[in-house]
Amino acid sequence: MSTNLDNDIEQRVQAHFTDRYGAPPEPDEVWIAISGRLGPQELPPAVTSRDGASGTPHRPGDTWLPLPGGPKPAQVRPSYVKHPLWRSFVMAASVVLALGVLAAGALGLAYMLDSRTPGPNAVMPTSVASPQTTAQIPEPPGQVIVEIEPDDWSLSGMLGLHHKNGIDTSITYNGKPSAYLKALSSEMNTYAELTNILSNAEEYAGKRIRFSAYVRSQDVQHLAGLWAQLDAISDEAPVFDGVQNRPIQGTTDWRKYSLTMELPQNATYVPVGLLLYGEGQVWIADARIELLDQNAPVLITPGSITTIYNPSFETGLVGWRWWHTPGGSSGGELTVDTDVAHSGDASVQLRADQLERGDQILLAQTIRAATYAGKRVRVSAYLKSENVTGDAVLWFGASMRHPGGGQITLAIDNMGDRPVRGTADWQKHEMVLDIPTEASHIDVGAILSGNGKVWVDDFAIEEVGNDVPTTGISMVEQPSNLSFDGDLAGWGRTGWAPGAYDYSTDTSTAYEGESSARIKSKSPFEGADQYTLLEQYLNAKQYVGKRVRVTGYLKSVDVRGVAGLFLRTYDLSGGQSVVDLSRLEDKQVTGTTDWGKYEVVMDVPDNTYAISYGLSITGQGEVWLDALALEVVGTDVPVTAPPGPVAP
Amino acid sequence: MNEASVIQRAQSGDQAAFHELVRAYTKVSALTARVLLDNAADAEDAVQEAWLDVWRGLPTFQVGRPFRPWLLAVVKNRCHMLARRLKIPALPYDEASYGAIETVPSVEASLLGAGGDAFEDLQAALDALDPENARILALRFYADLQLNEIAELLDMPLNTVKTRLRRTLQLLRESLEREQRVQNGKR
Repeated sequence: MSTNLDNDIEQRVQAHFTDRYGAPPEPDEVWIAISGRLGPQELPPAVTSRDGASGTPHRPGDTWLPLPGGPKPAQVRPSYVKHPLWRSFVMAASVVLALGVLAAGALGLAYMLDSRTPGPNAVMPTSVASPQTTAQIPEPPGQVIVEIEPDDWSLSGMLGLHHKNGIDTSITYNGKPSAYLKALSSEMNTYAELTNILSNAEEYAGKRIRFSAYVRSQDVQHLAGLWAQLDAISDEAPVFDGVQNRPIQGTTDWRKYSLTMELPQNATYVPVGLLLYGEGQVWIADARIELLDQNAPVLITPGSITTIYNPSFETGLVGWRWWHTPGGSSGGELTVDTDVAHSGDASVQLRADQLERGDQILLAQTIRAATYAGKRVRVSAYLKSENVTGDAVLWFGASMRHPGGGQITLAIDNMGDRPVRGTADWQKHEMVLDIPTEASHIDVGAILSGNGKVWVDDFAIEEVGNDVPTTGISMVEQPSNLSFDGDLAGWGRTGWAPGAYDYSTDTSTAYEGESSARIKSKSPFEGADQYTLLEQYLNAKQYVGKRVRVTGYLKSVDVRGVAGLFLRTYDLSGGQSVVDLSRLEDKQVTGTTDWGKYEVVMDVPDNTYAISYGLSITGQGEVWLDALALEVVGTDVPVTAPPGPVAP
Repeated sequence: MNEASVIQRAQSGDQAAFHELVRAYTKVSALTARVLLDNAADAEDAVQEAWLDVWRGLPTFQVGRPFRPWLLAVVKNRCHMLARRLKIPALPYDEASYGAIETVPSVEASLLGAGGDAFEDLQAALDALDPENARILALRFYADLQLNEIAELLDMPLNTVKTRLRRTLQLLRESLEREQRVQNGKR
């Protein structure tokens, strides 16, 4: 609507309906009503197992091997920090189940309730085995901090509906009942944990502790083990810090296991417990946490958890998380493949055959940025592909948690400009980013978009020198390299299809200085709606609350789509605003044009953490950018256009 | 980019992330339900149940796909369920009447009121709108939805929504012009 009359009508109509239906709600009105009623979430669908069983017969204590009946890789979800109120959520979930409130909706959001009654399985053997001798190397003595009783355990993990836990008075250790955890259905590839929290961990900050317990197992198809999560602060991104000293598999008698660790200086609470991946049942008894001498050998120190855990998948998917988009059970799966590996015994296979465009399978691990902050870091891994019709990529990102909430991506490379396609043998791929000093977390992983098969193996992370060129896009502290006199340092190739274009600097065509930046579509060009950006991603702190103007010079040859200068803001509540001149009819660049000056003026909202700007091109063509400037302007300078909110 | 990461965190049980999502979409979900159910208390119930459905079903949501259409579909579903339970004629299901819109010329006359003239002022026109056109208008200007979203919510072809909205606005425009002519005449 563009006339005054239409504006009047719009306002009167809004007033009419506001009168009738009421004023808009307060932002938290819905949240307040529902936050106490959030029950369990629906299970993401199970990973289907690979066809065919193979491999040697399994023996307890072996490292991970194909298991009898065919491998069923566990769906490992990250060990999320358990909110202190986790127990009440689990109880609420039980109440919800008891009331039978769950119902199938028209969208097919349905639960499958397990109708078996709770309680220890009566046919379990009742013998009390005497404890096996403990490890050959005598353990150092410790001072008991806490003894964890069988009823001190909480069931956690995201899949509590398909596990049962409780106290087993028929399976005892040293005459005392044990706590058990059982996976209910053999169709579910799931994980769950018995958890207890050392909530006064700050008293032991920087100290060495041991978590130990006697564990017994029955028909554990994948693996189980003790675990601990260090630095479990509730507003931090999920990090799998848990380490299993020795994975427990199959059917084993009572045996003592222990995890030794040094707590970080900022430890506040430390969840410990027993994890069960996949089908089976485990019992735990005589669990305790002890304080050790500062010189006692420990398995995990805070410094040791900054490397990629299980980088070659020799312990399956332990330490990794993965998910589909969509979550549907058909179309894609992720499995551990012990027939195909770059090195060692296993790799991870991502496979899809019915995915629609835009659907993905993702594998990821998050580690602490810690020693990598402020350094140039390379992450590499090996990929092998078979008939990949979409894209197979690795990804590497650095982020920080904002004190007020929200996660800010500081740097990312997802190989958008160099994806793996088709069929190729094992090849190493590298990503290099400058990790900003304020980064708290690093994510690494692999993504398959579209159909095909890709295997990934042998992740590695290391610091490199400044002579190694960076890839991807990183947040810069100041606008830099605005005249492109040399290379594209400080600029990233982003957008929907950066791989459909070539990027370079061009010394033969410059507005000023020695060279300009050039983007040219590749031939053959895949689709009219492919677009890419040459983007600089800037820390917004100097510009918050101000009006900024980005100016640049553009030239084009045979642009059949549209091109233009753009300016974008990213805010902490998750929103983005962008003004992209290629979308404005009177300011876009099409066809063949000589150097022209373009500018975008925008107000930077208060909660903005980053600004990006650069060149956008959609469709085929060749376009140059040069002589950029970014400056604060007064409110007398008009804004270019109301910025459009961007669908993420 | 950040909505995808908020959704991913919420998918994994992160309630703080889910809170962010709820905040961002509270307005559109609440106003949509109010229009669909025409009753504030019912709408509140439906919106709350819808968000609980979203929480439960979020792990199966396709991160990277737009969230808003999915949310609106869940809201629509809850409104349907509530309307059926309460037997209120909240949402028309009659396909035949939509088909008729495109072909029956007398619709123009019914939109324009008696004698085919515009109403004497805008308020009279708004009060006299038939419920379906009022609903489309409200979803567009009160709940701030796109036309294709309105078409999805009301199970109507997009062209029908466009036609009805265009004709309703034309009626309102003429009625407002009339009102202003009368007012100017009085000065």
